[in-house]
Amino acid sequence: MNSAIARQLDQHAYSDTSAHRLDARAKALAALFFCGTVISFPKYTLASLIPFAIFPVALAIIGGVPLRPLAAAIIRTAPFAVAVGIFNPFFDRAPHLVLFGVTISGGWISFFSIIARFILTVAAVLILVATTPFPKLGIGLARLGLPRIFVDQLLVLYRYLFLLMEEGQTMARAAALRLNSRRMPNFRVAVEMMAMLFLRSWNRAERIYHCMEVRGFNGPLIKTVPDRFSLTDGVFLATTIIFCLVLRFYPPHEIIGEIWLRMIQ
Amino acid sequence: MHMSDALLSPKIGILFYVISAIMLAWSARKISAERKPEKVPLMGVMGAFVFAAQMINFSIPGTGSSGHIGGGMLLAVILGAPPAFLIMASVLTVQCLLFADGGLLALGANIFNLAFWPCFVGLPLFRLFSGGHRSGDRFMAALIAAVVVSLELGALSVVGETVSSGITELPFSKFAAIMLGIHLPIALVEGALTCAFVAALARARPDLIFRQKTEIFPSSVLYSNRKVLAVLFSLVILTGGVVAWFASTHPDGLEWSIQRITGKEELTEEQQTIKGRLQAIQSKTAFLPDYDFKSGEAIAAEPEPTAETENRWPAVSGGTSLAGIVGAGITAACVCVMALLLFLARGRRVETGVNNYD
Repeated sequence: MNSAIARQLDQHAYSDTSAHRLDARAKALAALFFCGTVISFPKYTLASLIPFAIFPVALAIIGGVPLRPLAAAIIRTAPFAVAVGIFNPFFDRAPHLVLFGVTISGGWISFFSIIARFILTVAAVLILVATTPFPKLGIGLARLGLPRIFVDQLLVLYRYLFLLMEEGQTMARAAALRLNSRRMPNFRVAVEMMAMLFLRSWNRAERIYHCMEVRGFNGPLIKTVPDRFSLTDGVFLATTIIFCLVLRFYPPHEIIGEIWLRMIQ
Repeated sequence: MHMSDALLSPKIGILFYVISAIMLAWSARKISAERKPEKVPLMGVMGAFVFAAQMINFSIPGTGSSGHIGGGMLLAVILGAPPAFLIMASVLTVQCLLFADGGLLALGANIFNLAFWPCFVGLPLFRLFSGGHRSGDRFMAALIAAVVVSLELGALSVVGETVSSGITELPFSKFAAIMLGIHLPIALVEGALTCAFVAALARARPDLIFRQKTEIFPSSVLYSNRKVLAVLFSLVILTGGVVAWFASTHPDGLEWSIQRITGKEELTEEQQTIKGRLQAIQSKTAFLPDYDFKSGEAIAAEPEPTAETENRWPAVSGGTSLAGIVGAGITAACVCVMALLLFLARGRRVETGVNNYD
């Protein structure tokens, strides 16, 4: 996925909606639990996955997440899962379902199940990120138990991520404008470019450290007043967990289908 | 290739999360113990550098395609294993969260596949075989071999995780053949890139590379260059040979395997295929005794219930499956209606935000 889409979603994280005001830890745990429940279904599940869409859809709407970058991100990251999943119909041809006279093999069901799982899990993560500023997410993860030094350097990475990516893109573009018809540097030139970028980054890191040192940095990075885990956050997390568990063990499509059957008889 | 949640089962996801968490905690403790706060901004910026370096695509002569660097081995050689592991883990975390590259529950597995192997297997191998040399043929050969081993083991891990999750149907041997085969040229290019990169760095700032003093294997262990090169050569041959062996037994790879399966389908009765194919899968995985594929046994244990449900399905097709479909359609419609209502209820437009943290 290109950096423009990531940047759009990241930019949206600094908005202010009810979804954004939820504690980062609650959202992260909710997303984790949601993804875990979705992938816990057996291979041939398809209809049971549909109601799970409520979680990402509701959060996206409440959080005002822009749909186009979200959809673009999902589509651009699909290739690996699709490429592996597409083999399912080839290897698993046993009939699984007869629908209006058409026999559908188990392989196709499991393939679409993979697609559904992919969309649900990727959407959940992207919406988590689009409704939580990354620094808050990092601090939340640190309070959940991630090593402090890992989170600190993760936050520095985030801070310089888009900056350095733009530098890399500028270098690539400058090379393309000056080079051969392929518009791409060859191996040797690319290595020199990367070495240059590395040394510039290293020097930048040293300068950053000196600036931090001068301002009193001697260990933990962010010493803000931590967010409190409020009742709203607890209710949100509990609701999500209950929602996932209920849908996991009581698929609504079967229940509704039963009711429909009885109604028409 | 980053693992996706869609191909993973919760057990495997959690298992690799635990492994990666342990390695992460160990690396973090090692670095914290050094009490060098300058490492924090350094590691952060190096992580951002990895992203930036991946923007620089170069053309690969003869193939018409382009490539870019991965970065694991490069960081490990320059910074040492614990910082490189932390940096690669954070790069993968950012890729997962901000770029949706790799699933959230697959993050542990991705950290294991792409950060653990280069830092904790590739680097010791490199140090062992380079024997303290910092330039020259032995250095280059050691680096390339280490990169190849790390990437191939990473690719193999992806296959292992996918197959033991049981969501996909690809049998282990074919999947492994494809993945190992594809990653071999990728690994060779990455190895060459890493070599050239470290050499370029050594010209510009020789003080920067090889800052860490501790050698896991002392250079006095291996005296003869010839012996070392022989071991390296055999290592590369072994890795390449495993791939070649897979490839030679399945000459056209994909087309062959698809034709084999298609051929099989026409001959055997459809009701028999699940059991027959599962047994075929199990016999193929059985000749790799190191791997204890619980999924193979679990799948083989499954036929009894699935065979019965297979017999049940035709009888059930009339009423219940239709009801299930209708139920699913109504559920989907409910989700859409709920979304519409929420959208209307939200009201005013949401303004895009401003980063107040910088």
